[in-house]
Formats: sequence, structure tokens, C-alpha cells
Amino acid sequence: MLRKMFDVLEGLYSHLRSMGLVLKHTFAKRVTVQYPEEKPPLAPRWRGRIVLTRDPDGEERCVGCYLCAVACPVDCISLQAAEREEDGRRYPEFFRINFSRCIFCGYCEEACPTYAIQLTPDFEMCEYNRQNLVYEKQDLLISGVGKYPGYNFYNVAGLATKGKPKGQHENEDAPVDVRSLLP
Amino acid sequence: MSTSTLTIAEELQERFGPAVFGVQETRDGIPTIWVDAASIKDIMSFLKSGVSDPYAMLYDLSVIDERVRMDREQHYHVASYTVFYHLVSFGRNEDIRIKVAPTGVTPAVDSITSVFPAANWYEREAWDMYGVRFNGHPNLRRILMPNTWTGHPLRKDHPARATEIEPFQLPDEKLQREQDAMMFRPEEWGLSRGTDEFDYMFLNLGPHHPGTHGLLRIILQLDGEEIVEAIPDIGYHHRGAEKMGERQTWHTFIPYTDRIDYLSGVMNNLAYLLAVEKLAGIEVPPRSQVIRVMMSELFRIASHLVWYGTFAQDLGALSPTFFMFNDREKILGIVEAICGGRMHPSWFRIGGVAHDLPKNWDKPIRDFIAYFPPRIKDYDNALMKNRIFKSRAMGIGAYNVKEAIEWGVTGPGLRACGYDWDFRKKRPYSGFENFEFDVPLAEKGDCYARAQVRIEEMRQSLRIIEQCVNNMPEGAYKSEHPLTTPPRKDRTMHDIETLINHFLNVSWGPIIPAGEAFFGIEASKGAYGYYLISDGNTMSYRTRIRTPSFPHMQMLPLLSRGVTVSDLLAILGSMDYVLADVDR
Repeated sequence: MLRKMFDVLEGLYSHLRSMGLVLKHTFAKRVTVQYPEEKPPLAPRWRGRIVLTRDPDGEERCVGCYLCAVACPVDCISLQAAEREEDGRRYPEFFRINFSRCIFCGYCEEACPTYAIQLTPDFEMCEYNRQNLVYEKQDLLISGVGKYPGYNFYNVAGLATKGKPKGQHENEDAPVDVRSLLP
Repeated sequence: MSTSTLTIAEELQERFGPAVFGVQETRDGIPTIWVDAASIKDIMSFLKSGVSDPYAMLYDLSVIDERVRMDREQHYHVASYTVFYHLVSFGRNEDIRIKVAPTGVTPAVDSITSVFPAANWYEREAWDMYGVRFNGHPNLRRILMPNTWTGHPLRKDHPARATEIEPFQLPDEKLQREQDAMMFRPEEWGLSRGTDEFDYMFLNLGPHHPGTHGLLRIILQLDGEEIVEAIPDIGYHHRGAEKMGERQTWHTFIPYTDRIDYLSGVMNNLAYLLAVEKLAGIEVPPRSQVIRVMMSELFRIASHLVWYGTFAQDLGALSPTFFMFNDREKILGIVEAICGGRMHPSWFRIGGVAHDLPKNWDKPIRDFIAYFPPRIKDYDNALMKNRIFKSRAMGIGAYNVKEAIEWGVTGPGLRACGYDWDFRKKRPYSGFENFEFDVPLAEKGDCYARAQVRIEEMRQSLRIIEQCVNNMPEGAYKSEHPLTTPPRKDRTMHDIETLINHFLNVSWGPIIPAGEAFFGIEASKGAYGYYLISDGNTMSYRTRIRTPSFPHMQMLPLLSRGVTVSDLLAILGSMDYVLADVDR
């Protein structure tokens, strides 16, 4: 009888304790973020909306090498490379990302040899119409350098550009005159 | 260690003579023995009970379609299909792989369900995916695909994408056919409708039911409130991950692995990459090993928190779900800061990890290490010591060690019966031998014991994470091996030699040397592993994913006979499965 009573009391105590511990949370610091008035903090590495960036000189970084398109596990990127008439610099004629397919894995950014394509900390890209999730070049191209300031592919590529002939690039020796080696 | 002086291959040779064809060289060093298909049942019985330290657990069973394999002439007795059996001996701490080559128009081999009951679902899956028949199987019907499906999806001649086949159409007669196929006929499931005196009640639990934690249908045959028979019907979450593994490059399959056990994030990457790295012979530098361990253990806690919250919810306690999801959110915040993603970070790479750790990475982790233990103590007091929780979980869904091994149970489910087996301790990988942690055990093997084990595991994982933070080695986060994909980015951006390598590896993909390797890890749900076959190509020839949830789910009928429906939900909750992990 005594044991039974003790058992009931112990059970009752366990419930009161559970309820007390839950009640404690009523007075705890709020963790809910009042979105959309208040924005949740996003890490700099957060992989969200994809952008195309420009180099420090304001030119498009993308050279249309297609590496992002082939690296993409879900094939959501399509582009067409073209060459600029005045200096032969490559650029994408169109650049299209289908965000209804994109899984934001960041493989395109990792593959990009010019830091052109980058994922940014932005997730607010909902649409009522699925077709609006297909972003064209004008939706993707921003006028900044994004996460990688200072990098210009044409400064390290060893490719002669306007005002910078061969041999003037980073870590590059002057070109060898092959004919001078001839006997 | 083996007590016998003979290797297992020699022992088999001695016992079965000409029925044992030979031993195949594999990268993983698991003895891979080709045997005659006619004597598979005898050989299985011998391995299960005839040898010292027997191979007690059927770990995996599936098929390889050998028809278009580039390196096939190097192997023994190759027919169109190979059935492989992967067994584990706990006494020897060794695995064995038996391969047979069934022949004939419809390839067929004897079923081993009478030896290993766990083979039931595996053989059904093999039949479903490859059209290999298993003679003597009690119920050889499709398991993952719908019954109206034509063809066997994992065969090499089955299309992998919808764009390779005719556009989908649903004319009226097809709709009718599909509708008829959905009709529930108890006889088809081997259930009797009742006797002259009474009818059983059939309850269709799922595919959409909060208690099933995903797309799972359980057909319940009820006598009043009591379950007479429970039959899980799986396949609703089947996406053909193994098929995708044979179409993506070694590199671009990594994001797909995230989605197998979607609560364990990078832990999936780890199992896959350890198998790839074994094939390629890549040594991972110590810093990236420790980063990998740290992130995996964070995900173990995150996964266990989801389990804990939903389990409590299944037993009627709603508040803990919110508390625990909030704790998990803190972990995902750390994961976001380090990996950039949340549930699907796909952050590990062949030969290391994608980036080095960010600046001040240790601060949020140290905060979490300080924050979490008092919370878990609170939950212990509020839940584990609560009378209702105890009476709903104690003595429910119990099984013993023998049953667990018989049905292929691994992970916390096995340790909850008191069996000390943790792959992190027994076969340390990725540097786990350098960490101090205990393997929590419980005795009773019921729902409560499984909960106890997981809660203690969270504490141990926290211990491991703390050791990682305090002893993070300096050095490279990626290997120097040429197959590391992609190579180090800072070099890629400045020299053409690395850039060329980078181009090849991320476009065509790295060419992994031909060979076969299995690698299993201790994932949050149990033993999880990838059996990869490379025929010297940029894509895997065969990607077999051994998931823990599949055999666990198979055990459900055994646990739920004779209990009530509410107890079934407690059992489901305590099992901790993920439907994507069951169906792949």
C-alpha cells in the first residue's frame, strides 16, 4: 500500500517536473526570428542566388568556357560563348540558369576559372510562376566583383590584352625569342 | 581475429571443392569468392553456422549487371549478371563477399531466405531492380517499383532519364489499369480476411501519415486494437539513386549522396568518398580528416535531435519537438557558416573538403559545446524520467541480440540490446582511432533502450567535436593526389598546369582506376556504406548503397505483432529511419 502510494506520488512528481521544465521556456529568450520584418543572419558562405560578377575594371568576368554548365550535377545552366569584335575577348552571348532545377550545391562557383559565377547569401527568390525562375543574363549580371575583389583573370592568364602585352602578367617571364636560339 | 589457421577462402575450398571457383582481387581487401550458383544455399549455411566465428549477419545482397563492363574479361565466370552476398562476422571483425553468376534467359539462383531471413527484402529488391529470380523465395514480388512497372530499372539497358523514353501519357485505359492495381486485396499481401465468425479490420497507415515520418505505407491487419500483422509497403521515396550514380561523374554524384539519409548531411558524403578514395588510393591529409570527423559528428547530433523530437511527439509530447529543432537549428547555423548549405551541404570532396575552415570557425562550435549539455539534461528530466514516456516506451518493441543480427540491425538499434559494436571503434576510419569516446550501450533492446543509447551518443559526439576543436591540425585541407577533385583553387587560379587538371576533373570527371571497393561507416542510423565498382571510367559502373534503414524497416512486422497501433508508432519512432534511406 505504502509502495503504491509512493509510486503514484513519484509519477505525479515526474509530470509536474516535465510541465515545469516546459513552462520554464515561456520565460526563456525568444529564438523565433520575426521574418520578414526581421531578417535571419546569413553566413558569408551561404549558397543562395547565383550572380555573374565583373572584374575590377568593370568588364564581365565570364569567358564562356562552359565549365559551370558541365560541372552542374542537375544541368540547370546553359550559355553560348561569343567573341567581342574589337579585341576578341570571350563573353557569354546568353547565360541562363533555371532556378527551379538548381540545387545550390555551389559546384558552378567551384568550377569557374575566373570567379565569374558566385553564390550569394540571398534566398528570397520565390515566384508564383515557375517560368520566372529561369534567370537570363540581365537578371544574373551584377556590377560588382562579388566575393573575390581584385581578381582579374586577364592579369594572370598570360594572354595579350590591350595595354598589357605578353610577358607583363603576374609571375610571367618575358617571352623568349625562339629564333634567337637557332644556330 | 580468426582462430583458424586457414583463410576463409581455403576453408571453403576444402569443404566445397569444385563449387568454389576462385578468389577475386578487390581494392577493399574483403575476400571476394566466386562460387557455383547451384551450391549457394549450402555455402551460405556453412558460412553462417559451419565455421568458427561465423558470418552471422547478412549485410548486403544485390546484383551487378556485367554486360557493358569494360574490364569484364579480368573476372571469373562472368555471365550477364552477378549476384553478390556481403556477410559480416563480428567475431573475426571481417567481411566476406560471395559472388555467383546465374545463367539462363531469366537468370535465377536459389533463394537464401531460409538461411538468412533478412535476405527476403534484399532478394525482392534484386528481382525488382535486375530481374534476377530467386527460386524458393516466399514472396518474390516488386518492392520499390509499382507492380505495373515494365522492365527492371537498374539494368544497363533501362533508360536513366525521362527524356530517353516516350513522353509520359495517361490514357483512360492506363489510368484504369493503375487504379485497379492500387485496389487493396488482402490476399495479395498474404493476409486472410477473417473467419466465418469475424472479420479482421485492415488499416492503411500512410503513405501520408505524420506517424510514419515520411512516405511509408504500413498495411495493418487488426483484431480489435491489436495488430495481427503489419506489412510495410516501401518505394514511395524511391528515386533511383544507384542509377544516378552510374550516370553522374564520381565528382558530381556527391550532392546526390546528401539526399540518401537527408538528416545526416555530410556523413553521406563521407561514406561515399571513403569508398572512392579507397579505389583511387588517395590519402587524405590530417586536417581534412579532422574537419570531416567534426562535421559528421555535428550531423550525428543534428540527426539524433530530429529523432528525439519526433519520437517524443509520437509518444504525445509536442513541446520537445520545438526545443530540439531549435537546438538543431544552432547546429545547422554552424554548418551554414562552414559549408554554405544546411541539410544538403555536399561539402566533402574527393581527397578532402571543399574549402578550408572560415576565420573564427571555432567560436560558434565552442558556444554550442557550452550550450548543449544543460539542454540535454533538461530533456532527460522532462522526458526520459517522465512516467508517461517511460510506460509508453519501456518493454515495447524489444528484440534481443540474436534477432538483431539475424535481421541485419546495426547502429544504436544493435547497441540497445547490449551488443558492443561501433564501426568507429572496431574499424576506425578517417582518424577515429585518435579520439577518446565511449560506445554507449543499453540492455533491454526496447524503445526506451534505443532512446537511452542515442541520447548518450549525442554526449559522446559532443566529446569528439570538442577534441576536434581543441586539436585541429594545421595543414592542407585537400590532398595533393592528382585525382583530388577539384585541385586546390588558389593554384587553379594562378597556374595553367593545375587549371588543366581542374578542367578535366570537373568536366569529364576524374578517372578512377578500375576495381571494386566497399566502405562502410557508422552513420547516425547504423552501418552505412557504398560498394563502388569502377571499370576505369569517369563514372561509377555500379554504385551500391547499403543503408541501415532498409533492414531495420524489414524487421517491423516482427516487432509489431501483438501490440496496439499506438505502440506501433512508438516502435516506428524509436527505430529512427529515413524513408529516403530505405528506398534510395
